[in-house]
Amino acid sequence: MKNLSKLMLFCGIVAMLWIPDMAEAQRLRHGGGSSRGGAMSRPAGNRSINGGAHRSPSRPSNLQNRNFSNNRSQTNNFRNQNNRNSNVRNTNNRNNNTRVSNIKSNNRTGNNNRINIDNSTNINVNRNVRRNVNRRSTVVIRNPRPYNRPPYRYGGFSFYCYRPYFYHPFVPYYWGPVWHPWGFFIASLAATAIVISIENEKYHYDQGVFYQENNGGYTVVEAPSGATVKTIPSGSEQVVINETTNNYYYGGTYYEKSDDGYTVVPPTSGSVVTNLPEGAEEVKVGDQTYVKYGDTYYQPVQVDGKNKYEVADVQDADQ
Amino acid sequence: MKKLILAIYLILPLSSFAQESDIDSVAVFILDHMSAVIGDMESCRYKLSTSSDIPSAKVKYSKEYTDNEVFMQGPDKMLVHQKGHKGHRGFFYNGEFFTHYSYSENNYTTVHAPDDIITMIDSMNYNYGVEFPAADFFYPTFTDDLLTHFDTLVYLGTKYVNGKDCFHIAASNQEQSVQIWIANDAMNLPVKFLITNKEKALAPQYEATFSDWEINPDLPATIFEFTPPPGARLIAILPKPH
Repeated sequence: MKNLSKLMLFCGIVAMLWIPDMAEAQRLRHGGGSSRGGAMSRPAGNRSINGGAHRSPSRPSNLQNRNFSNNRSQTNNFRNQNNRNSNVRNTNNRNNNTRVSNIKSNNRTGNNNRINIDNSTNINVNRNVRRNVNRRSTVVIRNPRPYNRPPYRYGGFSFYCYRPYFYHPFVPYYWGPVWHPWGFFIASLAATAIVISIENEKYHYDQGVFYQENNGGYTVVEAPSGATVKTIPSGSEQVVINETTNNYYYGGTYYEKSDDGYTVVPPTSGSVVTNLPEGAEEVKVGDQTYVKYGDTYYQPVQVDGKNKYEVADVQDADQ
Repeated sequence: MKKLILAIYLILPLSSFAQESDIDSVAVFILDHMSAVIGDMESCRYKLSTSSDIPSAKVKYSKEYTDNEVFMQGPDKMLVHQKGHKGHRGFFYNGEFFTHYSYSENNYTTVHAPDDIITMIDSMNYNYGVEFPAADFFYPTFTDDLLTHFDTLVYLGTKYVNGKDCFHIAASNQEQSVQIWIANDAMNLPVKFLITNKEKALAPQYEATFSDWEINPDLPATIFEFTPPPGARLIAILPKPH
């Protein structure tokens, strides 16, 4: 009997590891019967919604006795069960690359081509390439202000925001003809471009856009965190961080004003911006739809009746 | 004397089992019968109204409601139409693809799905956190799962719930307690269930009520196919990290 309870405890622990959210979920645990059952496979041509009910052969006899009349033989039932459970286990290991959404979204090149034509320059935008070394400008800085709203929890993470979720569809925004999204390639830079070196990487900066030289031309890259520029374009908006600090936001990049000019900084959680650039993508996180740009999740919110995006702070759920 | 020792030897294992768990064979019998009826269905349709306690800053939990209409066609077709605190949504499964469509947001996400309903439900819940209303009852091993994961499974008598005479069954372990009401009629289908999370403060609850059961309705295959409405956007879905 001890061995049996040990086995059941082990099965319980294994089930918990498989389905970690079970304790808070609106469903019970399943698959326990399989660990005590025999081999099963679904009979061909069975159109039952769940392959037919199964009972474990290892149930204590006092619980087996009340077997109501059932034409389906027990052995058939048992054969059904194992196959089913092995299926479940296989699908859990499913490779994410098979996701149809991803495949389709990566193939959506139409928009990119249209941008090129509008800008009447050469080109080929590959926004999936983030080739620069310094990638810290979309990693969120945690806001020291305490959150009073419970987080949205999904897959072991908590998504904290100050404002309530308010969905509005994401439409990429363009900051004028000289602004370009990540991955945009041009053959030559404007005369106004300046050179900036950060962590031994050379960048070219022109009117709110950072480029790196490659393939005989220049590709737009994510703004390197820590880069300081003298000026940012006039279309930038001020983002309130706290009583004493404002950030400047332009083309998906956040800047902090200093004596030398404007320094690229990562977004701070709780900041609210009006527009997000091409390259950001709507993504379903459990039941909610966020917009993801680089490593930052933006929650759609409404402020004073206007559609905006708030930088979400994503933390491990157990913190 | 020998006989007495033999008798004790035989009784001992039974009594030690009784101390470890409290399983009522009447409850098991009723659950098995309900599972058998569900297992014999080739298609079904039902409505499900749910209420759940959602964490809320000022009142600890707020009670939120959702109405679902569920269509199933064995072995590999399912449609869930849901309206409630998570917005207006549809889950379409045609045996090959699973689509989550948000009527409120007019966006959808489509993924490959396993080729039978239960495996699909498991897979979508595991990979993407999609909750299917009352999916528990459709697991072929429902009774065994309860027996495995709960120490107590008892029959609490007949009760009158939602205009029906019902069998009242309760299961309990350290983390959860579950109460199930099963119709005491020809079909023995579930009428209501309640899950209480005992580990959290104020024990939040999830309650669901079945209605309008239809057994083996003739469902047109087209309803399980998703066609994007005009202007609907295809978006990515974030898999749950494991």
